[in-house]
Amino acid sequence: MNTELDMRDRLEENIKTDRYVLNMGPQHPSTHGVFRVIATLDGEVIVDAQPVCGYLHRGIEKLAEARTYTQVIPYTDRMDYLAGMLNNMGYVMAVEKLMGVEVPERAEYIRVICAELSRIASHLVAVGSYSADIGGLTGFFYTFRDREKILDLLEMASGSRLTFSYMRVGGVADDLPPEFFPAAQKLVKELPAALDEYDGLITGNEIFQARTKFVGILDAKKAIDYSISGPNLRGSGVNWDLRKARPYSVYDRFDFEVPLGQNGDCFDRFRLRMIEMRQSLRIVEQALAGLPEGTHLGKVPKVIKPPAGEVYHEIEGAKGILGYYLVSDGSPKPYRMHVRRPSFINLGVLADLVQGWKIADVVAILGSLDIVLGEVDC
Amino acid sequence: MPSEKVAERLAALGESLPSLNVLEDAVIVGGDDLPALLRSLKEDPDLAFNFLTNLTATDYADHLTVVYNLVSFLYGYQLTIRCDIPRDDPRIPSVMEIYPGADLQEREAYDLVGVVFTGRELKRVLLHDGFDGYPLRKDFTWAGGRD
Repeated sequence: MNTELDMRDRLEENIKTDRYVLNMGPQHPSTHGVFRVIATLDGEVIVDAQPVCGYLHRGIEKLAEARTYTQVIPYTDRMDYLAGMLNNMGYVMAVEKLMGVEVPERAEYIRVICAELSRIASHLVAVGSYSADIGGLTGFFYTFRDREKILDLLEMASGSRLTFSYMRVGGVADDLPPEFFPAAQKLVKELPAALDEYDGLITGNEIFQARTKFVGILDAKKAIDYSISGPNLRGSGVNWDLRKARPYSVYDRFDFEVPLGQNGDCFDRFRLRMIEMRQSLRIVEQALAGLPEGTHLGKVPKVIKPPAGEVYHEIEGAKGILGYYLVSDGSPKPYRMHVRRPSFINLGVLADLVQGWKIADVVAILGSLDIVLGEVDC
Repeated sequence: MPSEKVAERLAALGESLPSLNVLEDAVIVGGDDLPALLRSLKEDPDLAFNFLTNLTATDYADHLTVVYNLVSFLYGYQLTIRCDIPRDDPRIPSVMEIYPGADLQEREAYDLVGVVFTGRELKRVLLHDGFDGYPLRKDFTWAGGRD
């Protein structure tokens, strides 16, 4: 890093450069969706970058105000569409907190199984597309091959492959079908070998490491100041995972670790997701083994009418802290819904991170933050 | 629900911040005292509310309420702060200097609810610059909307 800075200083002394504005996106594969960056460059070096979002804004918070509490569930899938189960879970838990609904133990276990599978699916997209961003397109196909198996599992449970809408206030829509269990056991057994394969293909790749190590360093203080959460925060060495820090659902019953990064660079953020997948598999394995008998849906009134009041509930999503803020006026429709979307808030640090780097590094840094535009724009 | 330690510190802060009102589930404060309150909460080593997790606003027809959710990583404390502001003059000081992470969230609250955060540059973030009105205001209507 230092030698590179010295080199840059020498370059600046000897070569006269101009300032100009370069537009990236909104339609470009490296932006992971419809997202635009207006970069100001001095020669090849970025001096300023303005993120522009909103191209996928559907006004979900406004739409929710005209729907019943149950009708809002399908909208949550469409925010972070790579981890729909986690979005479902955050929402129904917020409504349950507002109403004081008890959730049967079996339902909690099913939720945890589906949520962790969703987290793995999301991380598989993150590491695969990151590999493609850096130039190793093969990694993309390998991770998508294995993500397919998870989507098959979640399809057995919910009937859908992406927009699950599987969770309900008080539990889940249906019990897991019998064919789910052998397939899930098979996945738990086989996926670690696939992760080893990615480690050989992506993590250990020399070019990949050269492109990501010590690039886009986010130190712990800055990460906290900028309200960064999820793997991006933990990549900077901050130990804050809501599953451990403030256990919700039945997460306190499982044995798993929270991996942390050391340098806060792109490589650490990537690597963390790789390790988190193994930890999620451990949780799935334990939840499958300990799945209690019982009903999958608790006693909930037919018409969901939470008492007037407000609630803020957050869970650890795939991209970071996913929070739902709900205001009820006692009617069957939410008076106000706000979603704390981790991808949106994590974007806040982008301009800071890319300063001093080059265009190719912008792709590496943006990819390492793992945003999904359905969630950024809401 | 503020813990004992938090409640004790809030009571002490109340002496210098007259608009502070500690409720069961939240802290109510006037807009003018907000930056001072947040700064104290963040810098007090016994509280260390270092993380602004959520910032949003709601239109209650007769006033707007801006909500801040703070977390202390060190102690695990959580705190909700609410700020009522008039609907026809929806100004409130920006907290970007204390929590830089508020940047995008303040822009979002301005964009959708029309809260004007003073002391910073404000631009719409999700809607286009020429958009008329603030969609999350209760009196906002649009073609094709449901009742």
